[in-house]
Amino acid sequence: MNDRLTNPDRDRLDDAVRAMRDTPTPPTPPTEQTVRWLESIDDGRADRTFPFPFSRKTIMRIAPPLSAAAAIIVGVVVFAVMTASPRVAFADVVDKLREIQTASFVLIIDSTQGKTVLRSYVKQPNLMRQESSAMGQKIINVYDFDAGRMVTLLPDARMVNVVDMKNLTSEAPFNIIDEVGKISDEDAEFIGEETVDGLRLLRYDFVQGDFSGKLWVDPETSLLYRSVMTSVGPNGDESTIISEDFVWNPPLDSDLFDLTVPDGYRPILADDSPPQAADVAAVLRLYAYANDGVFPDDFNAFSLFNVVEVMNPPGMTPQERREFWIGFVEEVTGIQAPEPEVLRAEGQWLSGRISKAGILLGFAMESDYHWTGRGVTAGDADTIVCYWRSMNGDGYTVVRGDFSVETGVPKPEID
Amino acid sequence: MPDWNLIVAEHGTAVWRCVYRLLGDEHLARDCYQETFLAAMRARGGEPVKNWSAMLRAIATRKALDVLRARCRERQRSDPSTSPDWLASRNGHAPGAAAEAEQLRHAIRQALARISPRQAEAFAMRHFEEMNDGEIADRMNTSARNVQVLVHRAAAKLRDELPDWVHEDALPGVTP
Repeated sequence: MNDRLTNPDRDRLDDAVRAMRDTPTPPTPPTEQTVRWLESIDDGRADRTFPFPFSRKTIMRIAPPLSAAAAIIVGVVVFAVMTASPRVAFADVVDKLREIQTASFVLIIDSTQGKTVLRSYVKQPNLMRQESSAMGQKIINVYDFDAGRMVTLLPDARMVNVVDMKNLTSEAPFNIIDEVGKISDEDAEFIGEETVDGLRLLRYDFVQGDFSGKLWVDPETSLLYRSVMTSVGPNGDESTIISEDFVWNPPLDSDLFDLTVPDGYRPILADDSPPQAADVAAVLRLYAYANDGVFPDDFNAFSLFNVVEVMNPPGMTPQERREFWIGFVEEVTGIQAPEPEVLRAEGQWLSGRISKAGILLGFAMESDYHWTGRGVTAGDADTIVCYWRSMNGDGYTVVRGDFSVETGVPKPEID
Repeated sequence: MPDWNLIVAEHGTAVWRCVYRLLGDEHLARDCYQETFLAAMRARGGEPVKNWSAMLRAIATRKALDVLRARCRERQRSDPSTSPDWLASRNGHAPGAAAEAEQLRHAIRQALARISPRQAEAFAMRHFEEMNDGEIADRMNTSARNVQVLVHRAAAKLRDELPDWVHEDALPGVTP
């Protein structure tokens, strides 16, 4: 090597680099074969399947958390509209909103975990539907915030997930109209008129909770036209939420909000018990296992898609992925060398926990949630990795580096 | 749509060498090779690509290192292959120089899997792919200066991570 890596004495790294450069290599795969495969992918003809237990269906189970988070964001968006209306009389906006019985809009959530687009439908006073897709699979979430129930449908796989949210909704904006009375206009600044999509709109900049951003209101209707909201996490990672394509009071069929499980759908989860902090701890255990025993820099409802990436490394053969996943199952359940039936059952159980953890995190993010586990090593019982205000109003819930959970404790004093 | 026949024909060998060098396993390398071209197809987003060679080798390096890390984690759990004794038995009858080179490759792959992913990526592109700092910086969305820092730190870490036997003159099981 011309560029020696180190001291003039014998450097074995130098030797190793040379050995790598001189690696004897088998023949390159045939060009025609590679090109055929690429073209089939480009045409959508190739079926890129996922190995057990991260089948496409399993991946879809991770979507509800994001939707749960987005449901909260909807409340924030409406809050922001109300907050930032100095050029439109507040009473007018309130009155206008009270007239709104239905709405549809698009939410685009762009974070370090990727971009997600959710087509949302709202029907006052308590119903919401969100449609999204991931990995080519359509996902439908229907919420009844009064009943504390959420149904997730995977039409292609004909699978359904029903979640009891009753113990989570105390912090959720279950009725956006009711929230209007809490609004103040102290945090919004009128910027001026701007032309967007050929329309003259009123632009406001605002701060709302952890979010800052800008929004545009149609002066003709006193209703939101578009908003761009940014939240910066404790580690500096930005999440941007764009809401747009609003249609106010569209005719929406009641079937859109039907929470009845359709005939022929199989349940995704073995049980419909409410999400618990132990679910979050289980997912963290998986993440730490896949990340060489170190917790991630950040972890919240948006991170769940990233969990998929971490737990499903590319380039493995099916057999290697299977072995990789056996390690996960062994790590979390303590069952060594599980038989195939046990592995399948435990894999499904784990998938359920991932889904529930995400749902819980979606709500916890609105309940003084803090991630403090950056760089912490798994097994560290002395260090708190995350905490949030318990949703039953009984103190705080804390998860430690050894995956233990404490509830009803005072708020941790962590800088 | 780009001419994939031309692109694969022109750059396939370099991509293949890149992934096989890092993985040392033909089966894994084949997966990674395909994934590299697939990622390139999706990443370009319809935009013209100025430097296919750098782009493909950067993607290949990143993907191969991802696989290498995952594989090493799994092997640490269940396979004694990280032990020099295992290597000694495997290479016991190989000619000395070839066996030594194989041992060194195995050792540096293990070490690469243990250091920071960005450092490993920069080091591999610089020293195995022999890409220049500007090319690496473009692919890693950073500055050439930062690339130099990453490579320097990677080299220091790799020296620490290489097992003791690598630094010894008498390698286990190698015929002098």
